[in-house]
Amino acid sequence: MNDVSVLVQRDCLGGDRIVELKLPRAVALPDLDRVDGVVTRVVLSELPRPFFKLDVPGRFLLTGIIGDPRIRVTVRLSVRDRAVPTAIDVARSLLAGP
Amino acid sequence: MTELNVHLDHAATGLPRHPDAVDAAARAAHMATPGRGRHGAQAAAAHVVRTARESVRGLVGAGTVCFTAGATHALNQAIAGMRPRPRAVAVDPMAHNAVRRPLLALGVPIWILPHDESGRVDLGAACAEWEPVDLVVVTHASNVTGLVQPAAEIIDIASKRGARAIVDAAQTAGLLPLGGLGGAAAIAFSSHKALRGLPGSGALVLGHGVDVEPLVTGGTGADAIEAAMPAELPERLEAGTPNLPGIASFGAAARAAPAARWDWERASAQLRESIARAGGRCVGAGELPVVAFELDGFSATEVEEILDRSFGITVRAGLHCSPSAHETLGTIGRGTVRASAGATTMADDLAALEAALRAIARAAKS
Repeated sequence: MNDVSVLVQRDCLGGDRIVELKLPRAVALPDLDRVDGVVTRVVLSELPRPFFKLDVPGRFLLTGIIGDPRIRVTVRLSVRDRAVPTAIDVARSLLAGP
Repeated sequence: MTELNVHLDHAATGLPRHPDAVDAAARAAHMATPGRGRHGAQAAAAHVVRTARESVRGLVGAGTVCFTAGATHALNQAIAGMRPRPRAVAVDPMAHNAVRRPLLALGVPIWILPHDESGRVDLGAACAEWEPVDLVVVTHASNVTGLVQPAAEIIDIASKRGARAIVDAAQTAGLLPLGGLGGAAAIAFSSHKALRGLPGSGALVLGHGVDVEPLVTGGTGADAIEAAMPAELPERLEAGTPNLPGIASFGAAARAAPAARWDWERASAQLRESIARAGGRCVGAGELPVVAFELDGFSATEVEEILDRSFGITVRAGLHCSPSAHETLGTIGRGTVRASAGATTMADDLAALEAALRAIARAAKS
């Protein structure tokens, strides 16, 4: 999993922390099923490049584009001290499939 | 980002750069350091600086132009360096952090000028409730909503009460005439926004007799034996090697400004109408084509991300380095999206934004 690269880290509104990562391959729709604890799942499949949003309350919000290797993990305030490890865990869960 | 690239973040930086500004920077990149030595090479570079200084001065019409690294540098220099030191200050509610942070660092009482819900200063209330301040800092136009403050009137009120005024003209230089602000002690702006010069250059234009202590000291190319910086402007505030390509670019952009005039009022109206027609909710009020807005069902950062990555449209989400403005607008906890047009914005760009916002809203409902 060393080929997941952290592109950007920055603070966000209200104390959340945004971590942007590049995965070794593009995100595919089935990848979204592998993320645990998702309460809200939105896929805007009608857009020119489909946008997705997975919310795991209290931990993170995962957003990105289907077909694109870059993802954005907005790590919530309560776990922001572990922002990068949390984001990398999210990336690993996305990529855990075939 | 997709292949399409619609730049609607002109409040942050004006793209594409003005071709004259790029050409001037490219030529200056190969020149010597002005004011260092007596040789012909430095004289040619010094000529570029002199010409640029006159061109930038032309935007204001008076005062001494001191080149800086940008509007932020210029505002810090003016606020922290103003002598005598201010004992109490006033500021409008739409201030950028380039004003707010140096003001807070002064450690003196800060009075927020009375204003309406959009952040526009209420001149009548300001007169009636005037606090004993000796410095007023005015945001000529908000970088969040495009609201233009009645800066000339505020300067006049301050002047009649013995207070000096500093104007943050970062959003208006090259767009609005600055000549009416001549009563200000200092006016600060940068090269890279409406003027579309290169980033990394700004100006602090000081009124006659204004005393500003330099924040940075060092070489000026003259009076090297002296312990203190020279008393004369602009040398007093220009220690170190000047950013010649940036200054040359700034001058060229300033010279091009009159010819580059565009109907920004129309662009502003069209931008606001496009966003509203697409279901966006504009926040606050303003005159310049800088619009803060929200889209139901999405956070500001989500809208920014979708516009960028699905449609290739560049806008900016968050607090826009102006928590004061967002506090005033009631959006401090969530921020807004900001779309801002410039002289190079075409009708097709606004149509693309409107279509994208419609598509996002439609997709969210399906």
